[in-house]
Amino acid sequence: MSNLWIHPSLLLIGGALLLPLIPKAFKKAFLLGVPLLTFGLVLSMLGQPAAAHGQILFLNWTLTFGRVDSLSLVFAVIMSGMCCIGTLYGMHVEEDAQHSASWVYVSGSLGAIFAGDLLTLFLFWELMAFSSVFLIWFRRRPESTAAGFRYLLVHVAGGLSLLAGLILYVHATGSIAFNAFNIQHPSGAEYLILIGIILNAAVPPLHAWLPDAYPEGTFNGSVFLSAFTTKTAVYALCRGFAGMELLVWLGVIMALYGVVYAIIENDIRRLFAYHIVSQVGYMVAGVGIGTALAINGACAHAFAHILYKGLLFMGGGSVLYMTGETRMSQLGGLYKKMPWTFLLTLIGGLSISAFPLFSGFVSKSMIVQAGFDNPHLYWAAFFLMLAAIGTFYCNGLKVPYFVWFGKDKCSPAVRDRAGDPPWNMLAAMGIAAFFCVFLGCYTPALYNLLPNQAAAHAFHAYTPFHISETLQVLLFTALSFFLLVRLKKIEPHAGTNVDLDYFYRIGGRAFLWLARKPVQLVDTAVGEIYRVGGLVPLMKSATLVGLFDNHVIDGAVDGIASSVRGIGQRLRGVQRGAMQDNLTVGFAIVAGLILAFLFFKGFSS
Amino acid sequence: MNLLQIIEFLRRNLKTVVLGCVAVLILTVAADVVRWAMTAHSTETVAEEHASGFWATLFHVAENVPVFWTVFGFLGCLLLVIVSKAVIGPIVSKHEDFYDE
Repeated sequence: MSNLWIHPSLLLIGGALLLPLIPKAFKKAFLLGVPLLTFGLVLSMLGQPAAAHGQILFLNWTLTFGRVDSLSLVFAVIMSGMCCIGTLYGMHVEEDAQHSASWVYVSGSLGAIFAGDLLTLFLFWELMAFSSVFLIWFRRRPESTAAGFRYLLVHVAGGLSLLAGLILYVHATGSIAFNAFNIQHPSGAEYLILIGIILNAAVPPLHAWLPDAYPEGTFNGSVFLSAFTTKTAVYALCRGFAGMELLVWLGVIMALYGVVYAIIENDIRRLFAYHIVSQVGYMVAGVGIGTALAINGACAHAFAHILYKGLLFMGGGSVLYMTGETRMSQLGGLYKKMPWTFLLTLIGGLSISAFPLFSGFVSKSMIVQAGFDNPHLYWAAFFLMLAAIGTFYCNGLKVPYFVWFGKDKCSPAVRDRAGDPPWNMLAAMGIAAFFCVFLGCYTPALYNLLPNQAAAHAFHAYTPFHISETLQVLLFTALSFFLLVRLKKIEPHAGTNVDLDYFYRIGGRAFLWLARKPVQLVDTAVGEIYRVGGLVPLMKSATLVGLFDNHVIDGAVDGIASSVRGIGQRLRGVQRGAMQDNLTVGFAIVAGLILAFLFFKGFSS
Repeated sequence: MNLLQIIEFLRRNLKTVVLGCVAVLILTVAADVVRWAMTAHSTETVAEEHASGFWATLFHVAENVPVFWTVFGFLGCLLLVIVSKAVIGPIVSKHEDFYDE
C-alpha cells in the first residue's frame, strides 16, 4: 500500500480556486468532476484499516489532518456524496463564486470530520462558518445580508467558545488529541467546547441562527447549508460526548421545539429549517443515550437526514426558483404546474417522517429503540415518538397539501412563472429521492457503514411490531390532519414567528440607539477624513488599475478581476457608513485580534 | 400516462380514493390486532418488574395493548396542533414586517 494520502478537502479547495479559470466549454464537466472525484476518493478509503494520515509537526504539537476510521468515514461518505448532488442541483448557476463558496464549505466540513486533533478541528470549523455565509449573502436581498451578518456573529461567538475551551483543555491536559472527553465529570474547558459544538448543532437556546439564516440563502445554497454545519456538529458530539446524559434532555427538547415552531410556520423553507432542529434533536438524543445502537442510530440518521433534508430543501428551492415565493399563504394548487417537484418533495417528506420503505424508517428507529431499551429513558423515547407525529404532519402532509393542493392562493405572476425546474435540478432531486428509497429498502447499504458493526447486525428495523407501530402512528396522524383541514383549523397565515433571535435583533437595536449619537458623531468625522484622505486617492488608483486591467490583462484573468470586484463591492459596503455593518466589522476585527493574542499566548506559555 | 394525468385521475375519483384510504386505516388496525393475537404476551412477572412510575406503565401499555399507537398517533397529532396553534402561536406570532420597523 502506498503512503500517499490525499485529503479530500484539498481537491475541493483546489477545484474552488481553479474554477474561475476554467473555460466555459469545460465548466459543466469541471463542476461535476471535482465533487465526483472527491466522492470517489472518500469511497476508496472504505474497507481500509483505521489510520491517522497527514500528520504534521506544528510547534510542540502533532496535527492530524486525516484520522480515517469507521466513524469519520460514514460522515465523510455522505458529505462528499451530497456535495455531488448539491452541485448538480445548482449547476446552471453561472456565478463561479457561488460554487467555490459551497465547495470550500464542504471542504471545511470534511476537514473537521477527518481532524484528529482539536486545533485542526477548530481551523476547519471556522472555515465552514466563513465560507457558508456567502451562500446566504449571494441571494443579495437586504434581509439576506443582515441574516448573514447575524449568522456570522453567532458562529464567531460559538467558535470563540470552542477556542477558549480548546486552549484551557490543552493547558490542563497537555494533549490536543480529539477523543472522547470526560463526560462523567466534565471540566469547564470541556463545557466550553461542548457549547461551541452544540451551537453548531443548533441546540436551543443556541439554535435561532439556523431558522433565521437558512431560509435567506440562495435556492441552491440552502441545500448545502441544510446538510453540513449541523451534521458536522453531530459527528463531533459522537466523537467527544457520547453517553452524556444532558444531551438526551437537550435532544428531546430540540425535537419537540422544532416541531412546534414548524407547525405554526408559513414559509416552507423556514419550516424545513425548523425540522432540521427537530431531526438533529434525534441525533443529539442518540449521542446522549450513548449505547452502541444509539451511536449507530445517530450516525445512520445523520446519513439519511442529509439526503432527505437536502431533497426537501431542493423541493423548496425549486418552488422559490420557479415562482419566487415560498410562503404557503401565497401558494397552493401547484400540482398542475410542478407535478414532478411535488412527487420528489413528497418522497423527501415521507423519508423524514420515517415511513416504512423510506430512509428515515431504518435510521430513526434505532435511536427510538435505544431509548426503549433503557427503562430510565422511556420518557425520551415516547417524546421522540410524539415529535415523529409532528414531523409527518409538517413535511409529509402540510407542505405537500398547502403548496401543491389546497386552495390556490397564488398571485397571477406566481402562477404564470410556476413550472417544473430545469433538468439538472430535477435530476439532483431524483438521485436524492432514489437513495432515500434505496436506503429504506436495502438496509445493509447503510448498516454496513456504521461504526458499531455488531450492534448494526443485531438490529432489525422491519419487525412486525415496529412496522405496525409506525403505520398506526403515521396513518392516524394523517387522519387527524385531514379532519383539521376539513374543519378549516390549520390554514396557513402570513406572519413572523418570533424566536430567540429576537433578543439579539432587538437588543442590538437598543444598543445602536444608545450608541448612535456619540458614535455617529465620531463616525461622521472619521468618514469625512477617510473620504478626503482615503477614498479619493483610492478611486484614482482604482481608475488606473482599471485601465491597466482593461488593456493588459483583461482577457487572461477575467475571473480574478471579477472576484476583486466582488471584494471591492463588499469593501464599499463597509465604507458606506452603514452603522450596523461598520460595528459588525469593527467587532469582528477586535475579536480576531483578541483571538490571535490568546492563541499565541496560549502557545508561548 | 404522465404524472399529471395520474394525479388528475385520482382527483376525479376522490370519493374512491378516500374510501381506499379509510380501508387502509381499517386494515392497519386489523393487522395490529392480528399481530397482537399472534405474539406471546409478556408475562405478569416481567410487567411487574418494570411497572413503576408513569413512563413504565405507559411502556407496558404500549407493548401489550393492541392499537395503542393508533390512539397515540391520532391524539398526539391533535395535541401537538392545539398546543402549537392555540398556546405557542399567539405568544410568538407577529405580523410579517415585525422586524422591519
